[in-house]
Amino acid sequence: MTKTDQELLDCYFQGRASDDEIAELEKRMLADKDLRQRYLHEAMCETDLRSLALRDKEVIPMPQADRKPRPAVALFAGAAAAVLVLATILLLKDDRPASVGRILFSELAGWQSDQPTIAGAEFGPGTYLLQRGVATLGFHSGAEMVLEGPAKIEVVSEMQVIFDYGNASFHVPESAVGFQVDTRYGQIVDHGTRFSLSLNQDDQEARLAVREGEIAIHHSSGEVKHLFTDETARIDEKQLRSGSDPTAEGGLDAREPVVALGTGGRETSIIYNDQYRKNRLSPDILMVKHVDHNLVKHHPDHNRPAPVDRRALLAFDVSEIDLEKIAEARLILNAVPTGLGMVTDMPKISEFGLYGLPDDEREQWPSSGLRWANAPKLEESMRLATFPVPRAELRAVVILDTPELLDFLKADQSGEVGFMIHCETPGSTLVHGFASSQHREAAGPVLELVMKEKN
Amino acid sequence: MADNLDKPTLTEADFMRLLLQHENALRAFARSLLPDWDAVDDVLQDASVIMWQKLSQLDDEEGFLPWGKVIVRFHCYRYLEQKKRKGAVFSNELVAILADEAEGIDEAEHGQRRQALETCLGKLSQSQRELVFAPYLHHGRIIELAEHGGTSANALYKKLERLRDRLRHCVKERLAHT
Repeated sequence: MTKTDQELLDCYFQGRASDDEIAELEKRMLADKDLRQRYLHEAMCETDLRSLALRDKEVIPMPQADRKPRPAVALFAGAAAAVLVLATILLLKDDRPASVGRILFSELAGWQSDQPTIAGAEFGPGTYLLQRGVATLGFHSGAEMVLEGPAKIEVVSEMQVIFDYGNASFHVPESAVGFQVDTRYGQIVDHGTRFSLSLNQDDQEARLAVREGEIAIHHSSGEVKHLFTDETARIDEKQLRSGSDPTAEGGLDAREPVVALGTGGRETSIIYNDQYRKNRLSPDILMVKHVDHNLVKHHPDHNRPAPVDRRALLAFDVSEIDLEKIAEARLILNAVPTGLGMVTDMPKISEFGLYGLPDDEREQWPSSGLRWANAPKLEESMRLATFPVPRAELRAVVILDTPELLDFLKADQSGEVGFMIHCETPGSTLVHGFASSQHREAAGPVLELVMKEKN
Repeated sequence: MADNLDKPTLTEADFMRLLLQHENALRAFARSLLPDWDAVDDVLQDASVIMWQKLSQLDDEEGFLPWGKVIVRFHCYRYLEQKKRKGAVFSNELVAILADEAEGIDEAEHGQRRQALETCLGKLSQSQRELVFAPYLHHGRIIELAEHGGTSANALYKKLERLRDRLRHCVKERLAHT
């Protein structure tokens, strides 16, 4: 099969290109200025990755055995590299922003804050009001906080949060032992654990449940209590009461751990007539369209898609997930209007299909520059779920949790699961859309996995 | 004569500072013309000696990078002439075009790209970063990681491609919002 431009570039820079492939790359680059530009960008990226890799391992590149020894130059190069490492460290220290963490995931999260609150944004000290949805905050210390709205917190540092109200789960790894959560009734100091905290706006008490590890609670009266795995506590203004039955704590049921995965940019739309690509596809919306053949003039072949038909592709990296431990799986999509086409000439409800891509080289599609002809095929994919989107409700949350989806995930061997969204209902001009991870308002696709607890 | 008298003299310390400041840009320039890292390291060693010897030709500090690129370019040509006898490399025509276009790259743009890359690398887990860095550390590192993780090298190469794809996408996004 003919390699794409990107595949040839990858082979070349990784030293895996054959003589024929080098000749092919040369031929394409001589004819294509944009490809030469990409090549030069790759060369820059390679240089930076290598220098960061060497810095990470504090390795000075060693002269090769077959090189002519040049002691003076080697010394000079070594000294230059050492000074470079030192200079880079100093530079990083000076330039470090006031950021204390990053928003890892945003599931329909509506924020009120003067700081950026989209997924991927760095956040600094300040007050944050999460009006709705769920957000996962990753602190630079390593601590993670999954916050459910409505909630209000004040981030003090990468090791301290003042928790006004809301529901939250914390995961504090060894690197963040000592992470501190202050509530109006006392202070919680984490000793490396997973625990949940529930304190609603009008509640007169805070409820805590430790799923794993140890926390210390410092009540405002001065009393200190340590809680261990499966222990719970209630704290109010006057006292601190501990228990050992987390299931009796109402909203603090010992929940199974949930992993939420984003696409990380592994998403794209394809359009049948690729000449429309540049102006008819948008990176922030995954577009889907299926035109009724009876409406297409000069298009007698009913087995062929219409020129403007679109499908969406998305994938998730599951290489670090223990697939055997997945108990439940949900794929969450946000339907959003695209502004393309007429709503009124569509059927009242359009049915969509979620398809699983084959678990082989057919799921290795590039995230950019993909053409319909080279894209994974619908007929080679497996339908995992169907869902309706009414024409009167183009902005909607779609949650798919079928047994077929769960089985598909558990059977994965490649470390990546790929999906296609196809519109099953033939329509007219309207283009349906689903928010991609780049969408400014709605959250992109999320694969939520509920993991079984350890035995 | 008057010009020569006015010309500031660059010291050894100045040279070291300038070389450190522009080393990454010179390395990227050489990588865009040469087929592998061994070649880049060889050429930069030779070129930096020549730069040091000919430092008096340099009019001012601002001219260091373009001047350094000219010297690196010459040494790349020489290396490629020798290499051609051993295996396939790009033609003189393409190398000349690439060199002209690479000379025009703004160092500030390279800086932005590097900063974006570092941010994007920060989004990866430790094990993912280790895999991305593996090809630059030593030959066989991927096979070592595969053996250690109880998986095949082929599976790790596929994973590496996906991670690089993610990084490429992330850098593009960050630059678009800069």
